[in-house]
Amino acid sequence: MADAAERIPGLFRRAEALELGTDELRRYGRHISMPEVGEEGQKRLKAARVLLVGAGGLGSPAAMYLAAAGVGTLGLVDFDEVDFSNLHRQLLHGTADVGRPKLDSARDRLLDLNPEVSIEAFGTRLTSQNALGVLGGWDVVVDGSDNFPTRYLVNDACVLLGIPNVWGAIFRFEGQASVFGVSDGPCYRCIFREPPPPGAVPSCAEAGVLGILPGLVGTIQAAEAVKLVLGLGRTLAGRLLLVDALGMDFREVEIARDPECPVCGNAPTVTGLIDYEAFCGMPGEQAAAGADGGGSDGASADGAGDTSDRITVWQLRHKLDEGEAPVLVDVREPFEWRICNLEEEGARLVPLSELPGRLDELDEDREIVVYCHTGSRSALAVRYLRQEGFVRARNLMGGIAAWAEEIDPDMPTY
Amino acid sequence: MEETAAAPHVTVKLPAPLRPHAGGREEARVEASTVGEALRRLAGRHAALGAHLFDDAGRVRGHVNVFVGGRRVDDPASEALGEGDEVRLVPSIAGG
Repeated sequence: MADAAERIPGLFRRAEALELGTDELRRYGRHISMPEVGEEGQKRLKAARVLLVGAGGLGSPAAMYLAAAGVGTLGLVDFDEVDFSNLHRQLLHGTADVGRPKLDSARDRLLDLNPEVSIEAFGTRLTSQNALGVLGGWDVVVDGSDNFPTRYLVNDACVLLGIPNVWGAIFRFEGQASVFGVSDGPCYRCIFREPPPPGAVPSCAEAGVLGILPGLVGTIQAAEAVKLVLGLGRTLAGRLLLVDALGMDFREVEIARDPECPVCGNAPTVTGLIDYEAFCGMPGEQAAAGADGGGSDGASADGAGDTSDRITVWQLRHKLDEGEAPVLVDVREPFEWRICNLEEEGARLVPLSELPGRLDELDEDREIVVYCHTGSRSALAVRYLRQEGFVRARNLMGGIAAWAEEIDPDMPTY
Repeated sequence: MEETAAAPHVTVKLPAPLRPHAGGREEARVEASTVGEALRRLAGRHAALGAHLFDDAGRVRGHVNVFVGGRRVDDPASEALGEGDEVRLVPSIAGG
């Protein structure tokens, strides 16, 4: 282990106090037989505490490989339940797990892979209030979250706590990976100074993702986490790996720490966690539920008034009950309509790409409520419709997913 | 084409999140002397792409990174391009 250089302060010393039992020597024999790892390296893995944010597409392969590799303590943060639409890529969970909390199925799967591993589960949404508490005390964080606010939150918390952030993200057939917040390397904010405007980059739920892609990227994250623990090799710090599964093209670009970075720069202006929903231009949880817009960016309407460009599912339900039915337009794709729709409430399907050519089907004077899966595509549609003179067009916040959750629990979800 | 023959021919590589705003193209060829000029020409062809690349003040948006030859471009306006250069746009993605 002559070449190992400690990257996690104190980890090597913690490892020295540990022993490997006979079962562990047998289980990890193919690791230990490599001189770069050896028994010392395997003890370092056993001493390590690695926290995974998200037990989904990226978190699945990362957690499974880290458990199999013998990382002693794995933390999992996820508040979701297993859905059918997760199964094409989230291999921690099986068909029989649909409806179970992801943390439960993840724990079962990981302990089956390796009962030597200790699992610490955090069944909560990571927030500015709890992030420092949840992330504190871990050696490495693996970010497999699925939204911009959480990614900025994880980055800032990792920088503030001095924890390496093994980062990966996916979109359709493409992925990105890097290691942020180590030595003199950049953090996420050095590279992605600002989040995209809301709705500009669709989520995987909206845009789709090749099920195998998180397998590629999450496995790369696991490899980087193991290298950080072992103090081996060259990590992705200072490099951004770009993965294109269609071209099966892996390339890297150089990235550097920004001395003016608000979080890790020479004169940081962000010295505590902030409101990341507002930072990303999104209404807060309360605003999303239509309760009040306080705490969000102020510029966003909260769906309270009839002139607003937004409407909550409860407000729509109320309008339908009162016989004030608006024109309901579903801008999803036909296959999504086949899974679930609001046809009984009078909805019609006009996929987003067909909308410009089908404006003559809509009445400028009537109230129009547009919905999609979670609200991103319909936000684009509403912006477009309002530009075209349909000034009473409104976006159903949270889309049909919110309808299924709040109004109609029997509706199939995806 | 002839009147700008002096400007280098470059290829702008478009990642998946930006392709819908550029007619589905994976790449576009433009003649431009600087990175900024290349992006402006592209935005001139595809207005929707322009809105995704530039903010209201005309700066490249903070979630879009530009790389030439694997090196990050800090100031697109002053970054000179050479014949055959490849300009790669890397916007942030968040899927997991």
